Amino acid sequence: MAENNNNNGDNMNNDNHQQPPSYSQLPPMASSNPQLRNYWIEQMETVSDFKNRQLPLARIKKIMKADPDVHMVSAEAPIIFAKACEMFIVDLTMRSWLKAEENKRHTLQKSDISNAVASSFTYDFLLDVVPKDESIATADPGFVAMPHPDGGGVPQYYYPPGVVMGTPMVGSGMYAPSQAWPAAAGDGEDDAEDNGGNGGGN
Amino acid sequence: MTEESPEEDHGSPGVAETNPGSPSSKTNNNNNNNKEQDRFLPIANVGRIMKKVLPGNGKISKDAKETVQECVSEFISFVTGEASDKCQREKRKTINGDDIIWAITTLGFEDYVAPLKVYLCKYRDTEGEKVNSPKQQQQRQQQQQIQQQNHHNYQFQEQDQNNNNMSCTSYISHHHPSPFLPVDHQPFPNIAFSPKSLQKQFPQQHDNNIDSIHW
Repeated sequence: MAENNNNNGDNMNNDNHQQPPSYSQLPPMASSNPQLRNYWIEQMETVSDFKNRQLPLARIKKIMKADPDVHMVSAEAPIIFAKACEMFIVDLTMRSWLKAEENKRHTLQKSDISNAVASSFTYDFLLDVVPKDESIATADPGFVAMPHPDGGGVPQYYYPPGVVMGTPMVGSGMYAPSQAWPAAAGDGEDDAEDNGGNGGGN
Repeated sequence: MTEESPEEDHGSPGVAETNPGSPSSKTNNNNNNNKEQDRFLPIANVGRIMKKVLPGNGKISKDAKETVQECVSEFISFVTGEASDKCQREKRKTINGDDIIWAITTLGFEDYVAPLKVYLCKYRDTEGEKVNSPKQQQQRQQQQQIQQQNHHNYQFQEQDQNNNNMSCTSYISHHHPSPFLPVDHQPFPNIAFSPKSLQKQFPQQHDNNIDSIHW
């Protein structure tokens, strides 16, 4: 699915990747993640089609209008939101994927999203949406590495209580993982989606 | 463009589709009025965006997609609420792109701001080419007025904008330094009136001098 770029003769061909100074203020989690950093740099250079086939504008406007205080919405607001929501999904997914990799898994779970939400204060507004019951580790805002149980037979038993590994990150310091988690493929763990029975935990 | 909804407050006709998921699992404590699929963005679109940022061996469970679905709707409501409050404070009724970007800045998503401003700027450049349409022209004039009002909100981002070499003039700083130097140097004539000096000049007309003084 090739995405159409609408240049309009206003294309900025930056051969040198100029990085805005605001990137020095990236959150500690994001600045240590080269994948996220590259995403923000790429966004500065990408010119998308403003009809934005990624997310439907009518649905976005309907969600905006669900607020009774919202009366009129200009035509550009859902278009800006479509781009912002895409960034939000990318941001949240990348942070969640870090949690999955910490547990040596290649399937993104709901608990990974819960942990990503709990580990960044920017996502505090999501604490009501994403429950924290299934993960005791969310009480610790620091760096928490959970071992994957070798049993594997219990899909809901991902976080044994009381087991905490690694150094907890305090304050707004630069995030530096103390252990290099293997990102090699073929770990042989959870390659198939096995979350059919996880619905009961909600 | 058919996807652009008009600004009038009318509900969009929703297609009555069968809800694929079970209603009980998607019960939201915040809002139970709307249809299930209308409160969220389509799970296929969300899953597609999630998939493209994961490595090739990465997979996404269905409940993870559904969770992100709910998070995105909450993000839209969260930002919209903040933008709506700002519009009410400023006695405006229409939420525009600048209000969305302002709310995103206020709520802590600084990483999103610079790309969104570039995006909004290019969108307005594109829409500006359709000057023939009277509605678009009126809308653009309204946006330009709001830009002037909201320009001070982006003061701290000017450095970023300068680095982007933007062709759009809406974010160019219009600082015209007009130095105001108050000139208080207005010399008054130093006139000293002394009766004695007049006596020296006209000693023989002493009586006339006294009369002029009294007069």
